[in-house]
Amino acid sequence: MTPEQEKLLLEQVRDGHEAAFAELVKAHSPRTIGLAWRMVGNRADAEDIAQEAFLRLYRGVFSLREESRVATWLYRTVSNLAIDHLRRQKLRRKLFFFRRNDDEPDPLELVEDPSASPGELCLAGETGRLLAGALKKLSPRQRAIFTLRHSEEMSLKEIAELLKLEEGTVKVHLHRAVKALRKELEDLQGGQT
Amino acid sequence: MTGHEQAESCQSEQLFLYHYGELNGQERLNVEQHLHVCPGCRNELTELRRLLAAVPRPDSELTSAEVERFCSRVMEHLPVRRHRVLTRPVLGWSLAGAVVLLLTFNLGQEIPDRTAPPDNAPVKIVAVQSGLPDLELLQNLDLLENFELVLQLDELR
Repeated sequence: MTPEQEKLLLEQVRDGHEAAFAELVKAHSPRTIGLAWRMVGNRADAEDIAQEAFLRLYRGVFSLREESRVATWLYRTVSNLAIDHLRRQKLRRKLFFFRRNDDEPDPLELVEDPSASPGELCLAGETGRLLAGALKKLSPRQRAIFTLRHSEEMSLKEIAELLKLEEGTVKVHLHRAVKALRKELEDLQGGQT
Repeated sequence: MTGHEQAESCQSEQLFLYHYGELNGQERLNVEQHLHVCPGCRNELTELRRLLAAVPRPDSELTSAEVERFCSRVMEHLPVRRHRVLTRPVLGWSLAGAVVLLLTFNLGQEIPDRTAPPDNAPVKIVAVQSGLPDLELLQNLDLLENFELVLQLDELR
């Protein structure tokens, strides 16, 4: 969809044409759901997050700036919603299982997830399976930044703009994420040998 | 010292930035020159590349049927904007009108003096029980039926 087409559709949405909004949803839902899915690792939650992002777009269409692209707006909203979702999920698990600290294993992570994320579906080897588990142990922000850099191939500058963070902060989170993945993989491989 | 430890002491942060192509020209040149002379960092970079290559870049394509289903789901949950546009101002103007009417009628009327009772209001006389001579008489009102007659007879005597 070209910027001109998108602008036209947004005008129509502002005039109350719901069909124009449906066009925007159809055009942007694959990438939006995909991003949410890679971030939270669960299809159902990803669709809930994507739906909330689209509803926010509809409610806020009048305040959307002229130069804003819908894709960028959706990416930002989905990233923030996914980070919030992961934080709530971690907190719920921590409270429910009375884990004293994050180092203790999360019992739910030991249970096989019936709806595998796209990452897990792509993973064939043992390393991939271990990495999928290690990804879930990253902090919500680390996971979001790693996903945006590694899977979405966004630059650190773009991620910083998207999440409204300093570029240095993004760099630190990404570095920590990579180190944590590496350490987790070493520990898991060491534990299996 | 292992390769990893050696790299840690060198510039491990620069290595992952180098891998992701996030260094500027001079920084990139510095890392490349360093890699020529540091086997630990070369090994570290190889390991890093192996690790990140194992993390997939997944393809989460949705079928057109899935996109249609999701779109229908979103459209079902859209807030009804038409109602919001029409009902909210109507409600607001109605409330404002009601307030204006109330104020108009209240201000048009003379405000009564609440300190004095109105002339036509019945005057209530409240008996003070402690002032009565015998509470027992009050408890048995039959005895009071001829009280006045007794008093008159007493005066005649």
